[in-house]
Amino acid sequence: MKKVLRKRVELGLDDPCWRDERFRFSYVFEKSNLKESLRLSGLIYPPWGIEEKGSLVLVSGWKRVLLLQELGWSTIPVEVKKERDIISIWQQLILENKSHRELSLVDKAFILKKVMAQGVDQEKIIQNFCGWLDIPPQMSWVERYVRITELDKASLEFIYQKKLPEYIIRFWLEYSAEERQLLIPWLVPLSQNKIKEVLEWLKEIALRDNLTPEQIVADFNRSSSTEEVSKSLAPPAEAFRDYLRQKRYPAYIQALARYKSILKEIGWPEDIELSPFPYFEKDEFQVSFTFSNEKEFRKKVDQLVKLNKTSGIKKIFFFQKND
Amino acid sequence: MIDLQKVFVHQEALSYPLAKRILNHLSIEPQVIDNQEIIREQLCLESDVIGAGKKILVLDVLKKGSFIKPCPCTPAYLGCGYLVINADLNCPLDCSYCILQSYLDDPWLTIFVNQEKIAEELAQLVWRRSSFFRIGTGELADSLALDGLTQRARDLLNVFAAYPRAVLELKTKTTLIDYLPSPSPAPQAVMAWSLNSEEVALREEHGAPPVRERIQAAREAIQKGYRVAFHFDPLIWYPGWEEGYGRVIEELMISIPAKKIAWISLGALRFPPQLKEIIRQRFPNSLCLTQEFIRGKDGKFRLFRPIRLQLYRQIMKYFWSSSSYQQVKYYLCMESPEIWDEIFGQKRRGEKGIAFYLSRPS
Repeated sequence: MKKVLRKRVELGLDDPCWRDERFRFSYVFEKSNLKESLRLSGLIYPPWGIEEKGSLVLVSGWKRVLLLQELGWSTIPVEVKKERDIISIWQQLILENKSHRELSLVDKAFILKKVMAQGVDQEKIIQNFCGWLDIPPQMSWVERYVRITELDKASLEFIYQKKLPEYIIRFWLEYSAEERQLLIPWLVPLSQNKIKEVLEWLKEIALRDNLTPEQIVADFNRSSSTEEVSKSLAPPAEAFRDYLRQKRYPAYIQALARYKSILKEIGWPEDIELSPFPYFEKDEFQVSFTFSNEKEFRKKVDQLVKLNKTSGIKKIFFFQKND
Repeated sequence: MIDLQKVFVHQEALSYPLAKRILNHLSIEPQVIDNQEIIREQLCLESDVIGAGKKILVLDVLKKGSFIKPCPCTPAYLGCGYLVINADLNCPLDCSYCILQSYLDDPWLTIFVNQEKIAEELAQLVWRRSSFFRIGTGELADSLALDGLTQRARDLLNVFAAYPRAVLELKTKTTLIDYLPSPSPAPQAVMAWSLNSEEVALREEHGAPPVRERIQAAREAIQKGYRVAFHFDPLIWYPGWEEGYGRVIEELMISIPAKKIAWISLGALRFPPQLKEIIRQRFPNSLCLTQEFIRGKDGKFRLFRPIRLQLYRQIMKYFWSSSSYQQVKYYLCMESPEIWDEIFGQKRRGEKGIAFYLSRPS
C-alpha cells in the first residue's frame, strides 16, 4: 500500500497561491447546493494540494475554495501532499472526483487541456487519461475535447446545462463565436435531439444554398412575421426547427403535403388510417382502422367500398408510374 | 497517388513471391510484425486516423475465410449476382463518400500476398457453376491503385485465362494501366472505370485523376484489346448536375465506341448513417452533406425517390440519345424494383435475371 505523506496547513483565502489554476478544471458548475451545504455544515473535507517552491499549488477542492471566498471565509485548512509525479497527481484528482460524481464533459475537456499544457506526452494521455475519463483512446477525440475549452463562457454554460453529449458538441464546434451567440436562444428551449437537428440542418442548408446561418435565421424571422407562421401555436424555437426541416427536405415535405391534400380531396375517412411506406420508398400502403362491433365494422368497410367506386382513388398512387 | 510512409509485413507473408515482388519495389524499410497491435497503437496518436491509414501498407496472408464472396449488395434492394474477390483492402484514393471509411475495421492498406489461394477458390467456383458469372476486385479496394506495386491485375488475368465463363472485372478510378498485358490473356475480362461529373470528381474524389483522363485510359485499354465498362456511381445532386453529367457522357460517347462497352451501371449516392459523421469530420464541404436523404428500406441514407428518378432519367436520356449507346447493357446498382420499372420500363428482373442479362456474352 502506498504511504501518502501529508501535512495540514491553514491558509488565508486571499493568499496569492489561489491564482495558480493548473489543476482547476471546474469552470462551469452548479453552485447553489454546494454553497448551501458549506453554509450549513462548514468545510467537511479540506481541499488538498502540493507544495512547490514554498507555496501551495491547489489540486483538489477548487469549487469549495471559490464558494468559501464568496461566503466570506478568511482562512481554510488545506492538506499538503508530498507528491511530485504529475500523472499520479492527476490520477488521484480524477479518481477522487469520479468516486462521488460524474465528471461533466466540460470538466473532462479542461482536464485534457491542462494535462497537455503540463507537457504530458500524447502516448501517456492515450494510455492513461482516456481510460480515466471514459473517452475513446484516440488523439482525434482528445483534440476535439480540448477545442471545447476554447469556447466562450456562454457556450460552456449551454453545454453544461443541456448536458450535451460529444456527438452534438461536434456540431456546435463547427459554428463561429458570433453564430453560437446568435443560436443559443433558439436552442435553449429544445431537447437534445432537436438541438442536434437544428445545428445539423442549419449547417447543411448553409452549405447547400451558399448562405450563412445568420442569413437563414434572418430569413426565418422575416417569414415568421407572415400570417401563416404567426398563427402557429409552436413556440418560436419549435417553429424555427420546423422551418429548417422544410428547407432541408423540400422534396419530401412537398410530397407529404401533396399526399395529405389528396386524402382530403378524395374524402378519405379520417378514422381510417392510410399509411404509405416510409418516405414512399416502396409502392406499398397500409390501411388500418379499429371497430368495436359489427355496425362499426360495416360502416367503415362501406366507406372504403364507396371510395373504391370513385376515380379519385387513383390519385393516392401519384408516386407510381402511369401505365 | 500512393504516399506510403510505413510498411509492415507479417512474418508469415515474407516467403510469398508477391511479397518479395512488392518489397523489391519499395524504398521504405519494412517492419516485420507478428500482430497488428503496434500499428493500431501508432494510429491512435493521429488526428485523422483514416487519412493516416492510407499511408500505411500491410502485407498479410489471408488465413481464415475466402477471397471470393458474393457481393453483399444491400438488403431489400435488387442485387445483380456479382461476386467479389477481396484480394486487397482499402484504397489510397480519398473519396469523401467512400464506404470503406466506415466499413473496414482497420484503416490501413492491406495486400494479401497468398494469391495462389484465389486461383484455387476460382477453380472450385467454376466447377460448381454452369453459367457465366461476373466477378471483380473493386469492391473493398480499387482494382488498379496498387498495381504498380503488385501487378496483381496481370496475375489475375493469367488465372482467368483458363475460365472463359468467369468474367473478371477490374474496376478503378486510376489511369494505371501500364502493367495490363496486351492482348489480354483473358479476353472475357472487362476493365471498368468509375466516372462522375468533373465537378463531383474535383470536389469529392480526392487523389483520383480527372474524369477526362480516366476516359482516355479506357480508350487505351480498348487499344490494348480489352472490353470496358463504366460505373456512374455515386450520382450526386448539385446545382448544375444536368450539364455536369451531360458533359462527361458526351465526352464518353465521343471517345468510346459503344460496341466495346460490356455494361454501364448507375447508382445514386447512398451510405450507412455512420459514414455521415466521418464525412462531416473529414470533408466538411462535401456535397454528401447537402443531399436530400431519406432512410431506405435497408436503413441506409439514400436520395429521396423522385430525386433518384430525376437523376437516372436524365442520364439515360443522354445515353439513349445515341443509337449505338442504346445497344449497351445498363443496370442500376442497389436499386428498388420500383425504380427499375420506372427507368427501364420493364417488370422486375430479379437478381438472377439481372445477373444473366449482364454476364451473357453480347
